[in-house]
Amino acid sequence: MKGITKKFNLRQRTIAKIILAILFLIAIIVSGLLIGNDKLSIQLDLKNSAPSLAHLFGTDWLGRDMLARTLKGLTISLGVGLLAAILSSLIALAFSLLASWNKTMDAMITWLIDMFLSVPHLVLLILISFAVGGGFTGVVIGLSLTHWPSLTRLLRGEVLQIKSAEYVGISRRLGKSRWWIARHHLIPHLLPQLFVGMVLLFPHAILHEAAITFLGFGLSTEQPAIGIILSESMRYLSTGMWWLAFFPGLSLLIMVGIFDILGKNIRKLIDPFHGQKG
Amino acid sequence: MKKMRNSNPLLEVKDFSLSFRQYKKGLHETKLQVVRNLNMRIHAGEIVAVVGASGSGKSLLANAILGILPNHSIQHGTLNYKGIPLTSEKQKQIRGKEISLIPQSVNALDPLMKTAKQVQTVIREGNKQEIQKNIFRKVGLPIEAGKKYPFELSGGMARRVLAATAMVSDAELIIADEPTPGLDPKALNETVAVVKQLATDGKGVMFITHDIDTALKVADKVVVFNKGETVEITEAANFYGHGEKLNHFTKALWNALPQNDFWDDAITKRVRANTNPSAEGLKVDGISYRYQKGAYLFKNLHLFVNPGEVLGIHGYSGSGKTTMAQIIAGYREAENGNVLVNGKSRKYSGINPVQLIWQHPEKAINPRWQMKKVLAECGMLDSDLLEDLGIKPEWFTRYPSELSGGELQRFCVARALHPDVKYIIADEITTMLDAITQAKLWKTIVNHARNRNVGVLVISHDGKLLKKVCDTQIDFGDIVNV
Repeated sequence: MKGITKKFNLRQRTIAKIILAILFLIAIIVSGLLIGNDKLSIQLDLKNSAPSLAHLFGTDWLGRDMLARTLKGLTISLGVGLLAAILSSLIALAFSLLASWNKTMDAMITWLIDMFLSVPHLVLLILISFAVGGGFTGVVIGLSLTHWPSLTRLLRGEVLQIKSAEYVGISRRLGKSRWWIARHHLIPHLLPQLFVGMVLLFPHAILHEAAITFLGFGLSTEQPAIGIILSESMRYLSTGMWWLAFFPGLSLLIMVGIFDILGKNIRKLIDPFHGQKG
Repeated sequence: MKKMRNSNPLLEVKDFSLSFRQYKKGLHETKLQVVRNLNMRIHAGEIVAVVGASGSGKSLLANAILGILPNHSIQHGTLNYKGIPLTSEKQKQIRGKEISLIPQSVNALDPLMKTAKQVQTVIREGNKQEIQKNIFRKVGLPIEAGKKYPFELSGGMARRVLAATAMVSDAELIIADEPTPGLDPKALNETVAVVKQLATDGKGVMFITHDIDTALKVADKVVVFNKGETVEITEAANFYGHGEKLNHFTKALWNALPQNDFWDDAITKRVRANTNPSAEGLKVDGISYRYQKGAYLFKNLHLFVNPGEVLGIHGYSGSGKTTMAQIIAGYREAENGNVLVNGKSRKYSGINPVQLIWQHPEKAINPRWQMKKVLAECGMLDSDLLEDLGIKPEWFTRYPSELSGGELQRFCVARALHPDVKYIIADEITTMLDAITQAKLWKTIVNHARNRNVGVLVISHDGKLLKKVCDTQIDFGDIVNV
């Protein structure tokens, strides 16, 4: 290990980690897309078999291959997470720019952030996704409407700091409009933060998606999302079929971990302050 | 045979180099060399001034000695303290005890602790209160100052508290990192006296500054720094006349001081004071300002700048000169009163005819922009002016971090010299720059003010500079009415 760290410099190591993480995620997506419905078909003669070479993750009570189901589930979760994270970050960007408008606006945004953070995530998430009709859209809307506050708070702080910078003041005295300043001074400064924030929102969104699906308020049962798989497997756990929950759960954990690594390393790469340190 | 005690220096810096790990493009790791082959010695009872422009690496040297460099730095060469190499273990052991720092900023004081207590915490043995009172007397602080919090003290007094902290710590080597910028002459002389007192007590002092003038007031020896290299190590006594005993760079630096040649007296044309009150001009009409119901910084302040006139304002630090400048340039609102430009009140859209140039150029330019974007923002396309200011076309594609303070300040001046700008306020704009850059910059500004009939309001604590640059000088204390 010491040899590897000596051989490559910090930036090369960072990029290597990012590439590995992206390759892993692509592998999950591609395999999830390639798996057709025939792989998920019911084969009752193979039901309840423990993990083996033919079925690495074992099979469930209907004889479906758990590896195929898990991969499919991860792909769906990824899609939900991606959409929700992008929407959340866009909301955060819009709100943080609005907060820079004037003091009243700032107070209102701060109040909104506080209000959303004071309600437990999951409760609000269930409420919203239920209200808009549930299913895929319900979950995505619910997730994006609940995950913006922490990022908005971060971006708002950044915006307030840049807004009081001397160069922004000079820009105003040079006769530039608010919108011009927002486009040329504020947004370019926020982009790295926004991007990293988005990647780090990902695991959050995926975990919450799995959680509400597990509770039965999320995706419908014919879509094998991880949450569905987990909640269904609960009923069989007591009969000793541990692999039904163990492998999908572990896969979910690994994917979330990969996103976390990705986010942290991208921050190292694009944020000059983190980038030079060991 | 008598052995020379002097032969063993307190601090010895031998072939010292310092570089930073850096990533500029792609995967290639580069090393940014900031200090190269530095050699210097400090003996007990001696004051050595380290002089150099901002960004020349002098503060990094201080940090290296104390072992508080950021962790992506790489150092080579030897640092010896009393003949023993300074390892990071050793540095941790002795910093604050045998080597102490007078920091650059008075923010280094704990805002929530009374000053006497702060000084007492450093004392390790003896009657703490007695020692602290003695030291306060020595640096010229009233005993009551010890019962105050740092925010209740003026800048000069806070600096003396910092010096007192360094003095009581029994440190043998004291590093004073830019203890004087922005100080008015009175506070400056006090600080200088304090530092001299330290040397008389037998301590070695490293005095870091960009201001040759101050350095010569205190130091026995001067080390001149430029771009991380030692240009010259010389006796302070060699600075006289036209610098015949100095080498090329130091000579140029010495001669560029305002009290010396400065700008070869190229500009002599003075504008007659305009006596007609209805004439064009920048008129500051009775403005007042105070913080949140506190005491007034200034009340009913009047000021008039003629087109093409260079008007200088000097005053004590913290007296509100900068606040006044910000009000005139439209960055702050005055409590009452008006600022009239050629008889008209300020517009709120479009380019402001009064432009302020700030003290720190690196804060006044967006660090994420290339310099050509900075020029595009203000619509500065006058290539003659850019050439006059010494702005090179190859700088356009650089980022602010790749230019020095002096180079950046030229861009700030160019930005302020927009065709629509009628008046410029220069707030200590060359305080952080070396003498050569300062002279060049002022030459261009004054020339342009004359040619284009732009009025300039110069704010500085440097009386010698104002005397050279300005047509008229005003003492800020005379116009504040408080």
